[in-house]
Amino acid sequence: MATLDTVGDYVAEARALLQDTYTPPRYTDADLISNLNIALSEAYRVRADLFMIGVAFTLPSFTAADLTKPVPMEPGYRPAFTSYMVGRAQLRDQEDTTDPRAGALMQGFKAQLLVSTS
Amino acid sequence: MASSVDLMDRITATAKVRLPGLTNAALNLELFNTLQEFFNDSNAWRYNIDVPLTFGTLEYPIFPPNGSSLVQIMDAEYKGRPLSQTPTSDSGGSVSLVGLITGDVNPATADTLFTPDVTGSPGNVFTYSIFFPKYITLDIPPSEEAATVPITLSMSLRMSPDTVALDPNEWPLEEWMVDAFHEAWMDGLQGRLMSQINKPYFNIQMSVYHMKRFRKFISRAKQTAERGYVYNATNWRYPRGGFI
Repeated sequence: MATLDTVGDYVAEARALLQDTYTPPRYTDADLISNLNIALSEAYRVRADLFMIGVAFTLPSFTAADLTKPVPMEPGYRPAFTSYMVGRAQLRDQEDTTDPRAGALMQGFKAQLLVSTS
Repeated sequence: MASSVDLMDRITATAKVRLPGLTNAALNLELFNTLQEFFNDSNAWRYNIDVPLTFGTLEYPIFPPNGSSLVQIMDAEYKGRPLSQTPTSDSGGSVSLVGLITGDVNPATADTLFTPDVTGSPGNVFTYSIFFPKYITLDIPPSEEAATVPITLSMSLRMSPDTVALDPNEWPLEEWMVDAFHEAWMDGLQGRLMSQINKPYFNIQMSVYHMKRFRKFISRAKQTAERGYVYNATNWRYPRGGFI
């Protein structure tokens, strides 16, 4: 079961959803981690409290060398970030069928941050 | 099975249950803000300190207990008697007596003996002012004899601003406060959090409901503290100055 503690956990979960578990992968670690960074920035815009420690705010950012680093995030919000990573990865695919799916995943990300019933 | 429960665990757990999606950081911050509003407006946190006097010194710093800060001075006593306030500027506090009659009062000359510009505080050695909630200022330097007895200040307190970054269980609260004000704080917390647009727990109707209850609890706490936490006790006393 994915625990979504480290950067590597997020990348592995995103790969599972993208069915990109074979070598060589379609999406590099750097690509997926970039998507994670963008997801964190987007979350910071709408939910700054997710990045608050005491009364200070810290927006984390990662590189491909940070696979073992923990992602500081409340457990209840972690799955939302994999949705965004997968949705953003699928935006670059050209097949007509992936565009609605990508949009739905990225909308789902925002809904999970903002709405209690999503 | 034995379990250890810290003082603020109940309120933080209740908040997490009632407000889906609430983060710990937001919870701590808004709980702190709620408590500050509660203590500021209710004066429910009372504390007495003795301020030792020094011969010839007019100003004395006020030191609230660790982790707290002063909202206002509720009362000052010296030798068991209330101490009057006095202004040392036009915008100062109140005085107990304005004007002074000197000499033997004779109906024919009484008016000429009255000096309206002189202020006094009969019955007290001196009067005091609080210009900033950091120190107390006397109007007359204490004599050596007067300096042997401290002034007793009754203060209302709130948490010191620097405690905001601490875990709620490390805030300088006492058990009786958490017991007595749990519902009030919970309503204030829910009211504040539910008013935050775009949060999963945003609900303006419920926010209004909880804030009304919170303000009601503050009024009740203010009255209760005024009566010394004794049911139906009087909350008045004879005016200061002994002029009745």
